[in-house]
Amino acid sequence: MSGESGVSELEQTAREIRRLAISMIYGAGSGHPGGCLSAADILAVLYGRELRIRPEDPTWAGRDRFVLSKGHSCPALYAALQLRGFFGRELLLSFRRLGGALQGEPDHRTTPGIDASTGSLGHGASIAAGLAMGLARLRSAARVHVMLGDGELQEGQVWESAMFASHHELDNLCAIIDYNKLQSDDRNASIIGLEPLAERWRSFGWHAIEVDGHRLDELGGAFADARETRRRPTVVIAHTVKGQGVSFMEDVPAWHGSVKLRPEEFERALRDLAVGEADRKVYEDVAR
Amino acid sequence: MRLDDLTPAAVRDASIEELCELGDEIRRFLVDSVARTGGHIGANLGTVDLTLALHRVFESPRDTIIWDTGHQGYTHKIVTGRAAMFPTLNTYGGMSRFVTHRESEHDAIDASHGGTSISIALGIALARRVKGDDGHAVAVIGDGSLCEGLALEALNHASVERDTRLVVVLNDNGFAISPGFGGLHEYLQSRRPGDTAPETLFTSLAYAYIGAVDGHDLGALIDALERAKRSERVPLVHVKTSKGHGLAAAESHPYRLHFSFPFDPQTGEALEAAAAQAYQDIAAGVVCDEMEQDERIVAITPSTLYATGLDDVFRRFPDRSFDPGMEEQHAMTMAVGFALGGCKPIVFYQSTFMQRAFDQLVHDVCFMNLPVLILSVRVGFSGYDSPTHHGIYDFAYTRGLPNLTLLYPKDRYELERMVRDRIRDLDGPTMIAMPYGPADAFDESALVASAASLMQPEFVIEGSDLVLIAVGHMFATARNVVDRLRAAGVAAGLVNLRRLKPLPTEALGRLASAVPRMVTLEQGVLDGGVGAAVAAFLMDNRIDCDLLRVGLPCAFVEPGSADELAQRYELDADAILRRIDERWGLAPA
Repeated sequence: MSGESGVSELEQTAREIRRLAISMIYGAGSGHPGGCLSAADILAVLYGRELRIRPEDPTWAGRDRFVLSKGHSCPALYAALQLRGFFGRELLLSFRRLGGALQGEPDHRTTPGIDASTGSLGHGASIAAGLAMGLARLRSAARVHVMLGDGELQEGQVWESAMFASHHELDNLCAIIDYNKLQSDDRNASIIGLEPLAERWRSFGWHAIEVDGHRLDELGGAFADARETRRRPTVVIAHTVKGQGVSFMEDVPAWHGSVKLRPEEFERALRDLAVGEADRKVYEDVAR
Repeated sequence: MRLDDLTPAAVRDASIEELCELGDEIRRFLVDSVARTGGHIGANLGTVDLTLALHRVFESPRDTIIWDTGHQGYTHKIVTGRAAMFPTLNTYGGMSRFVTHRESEHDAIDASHGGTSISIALGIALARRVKGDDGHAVAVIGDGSLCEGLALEALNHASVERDTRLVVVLNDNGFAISPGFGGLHEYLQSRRPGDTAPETLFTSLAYAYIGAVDGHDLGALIDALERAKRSERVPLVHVKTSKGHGLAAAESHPYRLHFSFPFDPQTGEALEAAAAQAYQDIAAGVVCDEMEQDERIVAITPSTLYATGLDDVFRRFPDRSFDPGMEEQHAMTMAVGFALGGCKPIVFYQSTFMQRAFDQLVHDVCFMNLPVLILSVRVGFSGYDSPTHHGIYDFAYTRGLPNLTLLYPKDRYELERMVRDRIRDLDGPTMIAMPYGPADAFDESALVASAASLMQPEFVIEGSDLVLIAVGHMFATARNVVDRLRAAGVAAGLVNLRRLKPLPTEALGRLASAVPRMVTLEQGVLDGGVGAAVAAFLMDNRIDCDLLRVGLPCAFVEPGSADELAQRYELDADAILRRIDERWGLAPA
């Protein structure tokens, strides 16, 4: 995919991210499919259009940064990076392998295109705020995006960084919440409820936008809005469905992870994701 | 003898007859080769026989031959095995126009400015005396260079030192770059081979005067140098040479083809005519017009008539035009006298040579705060001359001088206005810089702008993302960069600085407070450069604007064309866009 994808190409990219993520998780025998599937459209818009990045020069100083604070959704991120050309298809086979480049949580030391190692929930929010602060100090035109899980918002650190970012008027920072309403154990609402979520962010001094996280046009519009917003950070609250695109995973907390897919489940997932017979080998190769 | 593998030893072993033939062969080779590449043909045709005699009598590198200025060493290069390099003369990375230690162990020094040889040779000779080492130190100095104050200082010292193996060889061809000038020149001209009248000048200074010797008579040259080698007192060998010897076209040329671009060996005419008018020609034209109207104006240039475009001025106003020879220091301080005497002195320098007149600028012009107009040509890269010929230090070494105003126009129209306005309203030390090469022509409106506006920066394009501040002729590059940034959606602005000193702080302060990023572009060293001045201004005033300085490292820049050097030192538009991209992520994808 290029960095200037149209809507149909972005749709194709999102579907491809889902297929590759499921294949990697199946191949590794473990991983977190639910959050990958809910985040796929957001990642497609970011990597297919929004981010100013150079796959041939992953450490380009002027690049936009992306921090996946909900690090366990990294199979979807790896798929997006691979599709954008940061590395070859064969690297996907190293997912969750001992010594492999693609670890179960993102590692910026081993994976081209990863700006920060994450996994411990809440940390990514602070890393992103620090990156935004530093880039602003350097007068860089680069922007920083950070994707947070909804369950992750229960971490106090997220709100510490939220206060910091609005206090310092970090308008180069955009947080995206993959608001699929489920966390590892159950619904957010059953564990610790988040509503009124947009109001909470606004009260912390952020520009908050709510969108359907599976509508590519709405996502694109939200990022454009964020870019134009001055003197405060933006949060895009993306309403999503956990497990989106794979029928038996949709809205089922148990598919958060870490799970081992059975062969018939992998088959079913590929069918749900419209993989035809002719293309099956592509994904079986990734799942080896 | 084959020129390609000639050695000093082969020259020492050759008979006089063989050397005569070799000299003719070298002259043919020089004309043939330099006609194609361009080079200092005149002086080098004059020193063929002298060089052969020197290598015959002295044993290089045990004996050290110091070529003053170093542009008459072509035969020396051939004798020391470099004939094959001649086709690379005047190309990037090719053979130097000057002697340089980078090419040969037989080249003792790197130089390109006149008058250093006696001091260096004396130093080497005294070092050998201190250490008890063998070997002669031979300074070969032209009559033009001998007029340099530095050479005269050395001349005053050298003869009183005893037990030195110093030999001074005066290569008297009657020319500096321009025809020779002055009392010393007249005196030297009066001495001829075969004179019986006793020599008085050098003899009275305690030198063992030997000569005058016909510089194209190998037998006589070798005899004279042998005598010099055995002399008790410091010998001064007066050699009469003919600049351009053996090439009719050079012998009839006003500067004896001192330097030429590729030329026709029959006519001496350069093969390619200069394309566009150069900056100095425009400046000289204005000076000519103003001299017509104001009889107080005088024009001065130290032996750089050829580089400053002043031929017309000198022809039309011979009584008010002065070329004192290679006397940069004297030219500057004499201008002070003209100012004190009620005249309006305009001194034309080739930027590199004004370095010689630094203290005269400080102590005489600036300290007394006198109305002297300095027009400095070839500021920035100056082509295929020696590394020391680039005019890249001007701002660094003048920045700290009180009372001095320094202007640098972006194109021919601004230059025209600045020169005219400053001549008419000259109220203190003022310098106008201009680069080598064809003049840019951007904006005729400067011709009708107010004089005051030309002393202030020109805000060419507004920009909210970043603003480029162009110094002088870097404007062309800056405009290219700004155009490309704007095409990519970056709100890039452009300022033409115009006045480097005093820095236009009020305008800069307003600009820097309104924009988050600035870039300074200059074709000079960054240490002490305009960017450094702007950085200090921002820091002193606590203005929070991120500054990228584009300029040259603190280095001696190799010879090369302006394009070659801009690429090498990342001063071209592509490189600047790359730097902006790296620093701020603001470049076109």
